[in-house]
Amino acid sequence: MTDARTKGAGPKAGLEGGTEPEAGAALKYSFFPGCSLHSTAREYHETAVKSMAALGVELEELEDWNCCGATALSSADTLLSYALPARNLAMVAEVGRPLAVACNSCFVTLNRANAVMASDTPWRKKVQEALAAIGRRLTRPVEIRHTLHILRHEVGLDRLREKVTRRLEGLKVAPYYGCQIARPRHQWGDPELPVEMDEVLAATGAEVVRYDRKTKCCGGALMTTKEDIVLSINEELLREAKARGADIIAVCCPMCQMNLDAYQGKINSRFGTDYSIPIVYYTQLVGFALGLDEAEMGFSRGFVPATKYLRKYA
Amino acid sequence: MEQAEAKAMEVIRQDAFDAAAFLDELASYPSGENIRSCMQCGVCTASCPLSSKMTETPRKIMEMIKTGMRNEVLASDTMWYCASCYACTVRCPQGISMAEVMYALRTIAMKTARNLSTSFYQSFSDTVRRYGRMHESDLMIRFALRTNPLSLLKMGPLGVRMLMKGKMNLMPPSAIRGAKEIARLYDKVAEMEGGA
Repeated sequence: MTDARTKGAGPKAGLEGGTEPEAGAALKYSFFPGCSLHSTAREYHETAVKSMAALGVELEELEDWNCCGATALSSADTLLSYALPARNLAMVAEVGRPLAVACNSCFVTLNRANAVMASDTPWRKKVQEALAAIGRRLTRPVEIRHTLHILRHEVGLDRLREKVTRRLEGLKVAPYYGCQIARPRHQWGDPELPVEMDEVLAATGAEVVRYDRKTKCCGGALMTTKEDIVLSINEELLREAKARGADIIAVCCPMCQMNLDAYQGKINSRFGTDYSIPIVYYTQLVGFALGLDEAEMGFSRGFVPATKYLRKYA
Repeated sequence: MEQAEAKAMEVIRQDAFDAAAFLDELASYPSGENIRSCMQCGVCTASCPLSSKMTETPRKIMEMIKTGMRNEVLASDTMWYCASCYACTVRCPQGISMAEVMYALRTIAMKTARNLSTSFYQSFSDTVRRYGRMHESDLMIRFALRTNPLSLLKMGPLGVRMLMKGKMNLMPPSAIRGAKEIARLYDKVAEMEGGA
């Protein structure tokens, strides 16, 4: 659902008897964590659920969800790359709530399948035929939201600002979105220079530094197959953050976090640099600013720990 | 008609046929419908963060597709460098989804090519088929066995640090309840594609 008609519509839009949510009313979504949030991005999972709960948004994990297939399945098998995420979408449709997604890669993959379900190409019928073989049914697209979009557009900056108890004054943050939250075009956000994360971080009191590479790709899973070039791309991302005076980089995607953080040591030895920039999820900063327990925000989970920049606010 | 001329005519017709067939093949993929409207402006190449590493740039690949150089296109390294960042796609003035063209080329090449990338994507797919979800150690073992088993030693230190940070699961995930459903979905798709 990427067209202008649904722009700005509440999360209940498109559901039977749905009305615009009242300001301050509880919002409830089906939540698709995706595989990374159960392993490499555990801190993203924990802080997304907790921070959103503190803001009155309930993320209810979709039962028995399967891997969306990510870029790998789109590369390996076209029909399967639509059918796998479509199984999840069929289950979302059964629950009847809009879907919240935190991982950029899942977000783009689920949206890609959703777009086919909204099209009248033969692929739609093929996906439906494949789903029918496992007793699943999906007749139309479902509502999909990135958690960042929910936070910025459904919760809103006023509500966030109101609930902040630890203002992160003086913390210099580079907002790094990665590519797949912004592109191809989704319902919200500029495809090259989005501002949602900038605004959310600013509402926590943090100083958001200018970051022109905010949607330049980190290379994603190419780190496994094309390591040399992907290391150099990530070196450029760190270089700009440092040049802009950022203490830390905030991200919204497990691929970006992994490439920039777990490989930062390798980047330093490869390029003779001395970066020591923590890479944290925006939900960790938001949760911390909301006054949630520092120990539960996972700041020590990064290879480059963020703790030293945040201790003073605790 | 002289024999040489007849032969030349045959080559001309065959080339035209090949070019049209390759374009038809790619246009039949989802989001492939605009592929014929490429005007060689090169915005895709200029926008691509990885084009400098490719032997053939995205713009050049599009021209090769148009001229029916199917074998050369599929043998190129271009599509294996695509990170699916869609920078080309949102900027293309002709509405071509280059990122989707790259996916389409990969899926076609997957049937015959063997390289690091095809091994990775196949391993990923096999892991998901088995568990219904990703399991990093399972994926890395499959990938190493397909490529270079010794590479596991190289990946070891990072794996251990991930484990210590609680960022990786040593034990395989218990397969999701719908794992059998996932396997059935794979089989059904294979059957549909085999019958196509």
